[in-house]
Amino acid sequence: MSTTEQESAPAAPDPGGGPRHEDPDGRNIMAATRRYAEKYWPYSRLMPSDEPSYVTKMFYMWGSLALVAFIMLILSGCILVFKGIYWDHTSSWGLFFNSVHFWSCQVFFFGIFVHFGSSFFTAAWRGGRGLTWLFGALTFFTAILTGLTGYVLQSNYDGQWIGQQAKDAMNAVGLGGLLNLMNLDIVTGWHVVLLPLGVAIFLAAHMMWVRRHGVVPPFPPEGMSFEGAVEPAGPTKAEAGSSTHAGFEPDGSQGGSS
Amino acid sequence: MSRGPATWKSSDVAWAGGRRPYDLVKEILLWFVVLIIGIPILAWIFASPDPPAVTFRAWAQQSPKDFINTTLSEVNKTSLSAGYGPPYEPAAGTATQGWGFFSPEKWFGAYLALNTYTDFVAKPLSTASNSTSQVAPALSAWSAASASQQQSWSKAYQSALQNAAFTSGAYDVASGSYGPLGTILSAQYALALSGGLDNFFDANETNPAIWYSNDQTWPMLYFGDSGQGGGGPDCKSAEPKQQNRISPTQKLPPGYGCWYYNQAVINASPRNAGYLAGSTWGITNEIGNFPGAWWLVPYTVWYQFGPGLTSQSADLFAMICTGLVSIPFLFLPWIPGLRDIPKLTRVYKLMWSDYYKSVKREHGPTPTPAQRVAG
Repeated sequence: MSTTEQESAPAAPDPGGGPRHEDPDGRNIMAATRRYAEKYWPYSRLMPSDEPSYVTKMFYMWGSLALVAFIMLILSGCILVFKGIYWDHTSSWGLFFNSVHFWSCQVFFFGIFVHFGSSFFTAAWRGGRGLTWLFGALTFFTAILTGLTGYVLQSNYDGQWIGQQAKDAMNAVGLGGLLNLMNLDIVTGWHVVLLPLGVAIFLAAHMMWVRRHGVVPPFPPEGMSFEGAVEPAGPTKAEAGSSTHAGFEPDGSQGGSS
Repeated sequence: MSRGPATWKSSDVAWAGGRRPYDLVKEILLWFVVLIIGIPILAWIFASPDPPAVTFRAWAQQSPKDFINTTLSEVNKTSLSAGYGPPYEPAAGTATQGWGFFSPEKWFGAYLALNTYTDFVAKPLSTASNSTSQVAPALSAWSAASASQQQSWSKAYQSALQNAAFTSGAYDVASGSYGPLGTILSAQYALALSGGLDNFFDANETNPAIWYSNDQTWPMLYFGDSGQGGGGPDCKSAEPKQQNRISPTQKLPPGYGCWYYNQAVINASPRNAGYLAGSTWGITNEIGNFPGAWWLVPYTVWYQFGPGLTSQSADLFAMICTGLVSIPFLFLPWIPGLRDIPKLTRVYKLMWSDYYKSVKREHGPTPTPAQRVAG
C-alpha cells in the first residue's frame, strides 16, 4: 500500500461519536487545532492530580489567590452593575458591595505582586516558559488600567481628582481621545467590559501556559552534574496521558520560548 | 517521541523526579473560602473610601472669590484650560508637553475642542432659567468687544473684586469700567449658588440634542482651573501649606492651590501629606487610612525627582520612563543578564530549601558527577 493510500484510508468510526476522518490531507483547521490542543493540553496536564515533588511551599499558592480575588472582583462587580455606579453613595448595601469590590482589588494586586516575586526569584520563565511570564505581565498591566478606571468610576472626590489629574498623563501621550478619564460614558465601558475582558484573556492564556509547561523545577544543586541523564520524553500524544512526565518538555534553551 | 541520552542544561526544563498528589481544585476552594469570608469582613469593618464629590454650588458657597476669579479667567481665556493646548485647543499651550518635535499631544490635535467662555459660561447662562434680561445683552457685548477692550474690562474687574464684600449669597463690587463683566459674573455666581450650574453640566454639554450624558470633561476642567486669576482669601491662607505639601521645591503659579486643590488637603490623612498630589506619590495614597493604588508605585516614582518633579513635561516623562521600564519587564525571559539575576541572588535556595535539603540527605554534601536529581 502506498503512502497516499495509507493516508487517505478512512478512519474507523469512533464509538464515542468522535471524528470519523483523520484529516488525510492535513488541511482541516479544526483537526489541526485539536491535534495541537491534545498535544499540549491533554486532560492529565490540564487538570493534573499531582505535581512535582518540589511543589511543597506556600509561595506556589499566591497565583491562585490572585485568581480567586479576580473571581471575587467579577462577582462583586456584577452585583454593582445591577444597581449602577452611584449605588454606594446612597445605600449601605451599595457601600458594602463596593467595599467588597475595593478589598478584592487590594487582595488581587497583593496576590499578583507576591506571585511575581516568587516567579522572579525562581526564574520561572526557564525551560520554554517565557510566554507564561509575558502573559502574566500583560495581565498585570491590563489590571492596572482596570484599577485606574475603577478609581475614576467611584464618582466621588477620589474619582474627580484622579480623573482630572490622570488626564494630563493620557493627554501627554496622545491617548486622551481613546480613554478620556473625565468622561464616565467612556470610562464605564472600559472598566466594565474591555479591560476586565483583557485581564480575563491574558489570565486564561497565562494559566493555559502554566498547565502546558508545568511548574518550573529548581536550579540544579551546586556541584551536581546531570551529564548522561536521560531527559523525559516530550509531550507526544501517546505519553501525554502519563502523569509521571506531564508538564515537562525537553528544551535546552535558557531563555523563554513558547 | 523517543530521545537518546542528553545533557540537562542549566535551564532544568525537564523533571524526572517524583511527583506528589496535589489537588488544585482544593487549593482554589481553600482560597475561595478564605476570601468569601475575609473580604466581606474587611468590607463590613473598614468599608471603602467615599469622600463626597465637590460641586460648583459648594465652590461658590465656600470660596466665592476664587470661584468668580476663576470664572473670569474662563471668560477672558486666561485659565489653565483655555491655554492648555491639545487636545482642547489646536495651538500648543502652556500645559502642552513635549520636547521639540516630540509632542504626542500636538500630533493628535484638538479632538476635544473647547472654548472656555462659550462652554463654561455663555452656554450655561443662555440656558439658565434664572437668567435675567440683562445677561443676553451682556454676553453679546462681551463677544463683540475687541481683545484689548476685554483685557481692560478684566483688569478693572479683577481689581474691584479684591475689595468686594460677600454677604450671604451676594457680593458688592465697587463700580468701575468693566463693561458687561459684572453682569456675566454675578449671573454665573448666582447660577452656581442655586445648583443650576451643576445641573447644566449634568446634561449633554457637547450636544443638547442627545440629552443623555455622563461626560464630566468640561466641569472637571473648570474645577481644575480653581485658583487661576488670584483666588480668594481662603486660598491665600492655604497656599503656603498646600505648596509645601505638593512639593517643597516646586514653584507654583500665583493662586495655585485654591479651593478645588484645598479639598485634597482637607481630605488628606495625617500619614499622607499631600494626599493625591503627584509629587507625593499621587494615587498610591488614599484618604484616611485606606490603602491606595500602591501597585502604581512603579509609575508614580517618576514624579518624585528630576524632570518628573519640576519639568513642564512631567507626565510625558513619567509615562515614557514607565514604558521604557515595562518593556524589559515584559520581555525579561529573553534578555540575557536580567534573566540571570535570580540565579545570582540565590534567593531560590531559601525558597526551595526543602528540595535542596532532600538532595543533600540523599547524596551527601559532595555529590558525585553523573548523579541524577531525585525528587
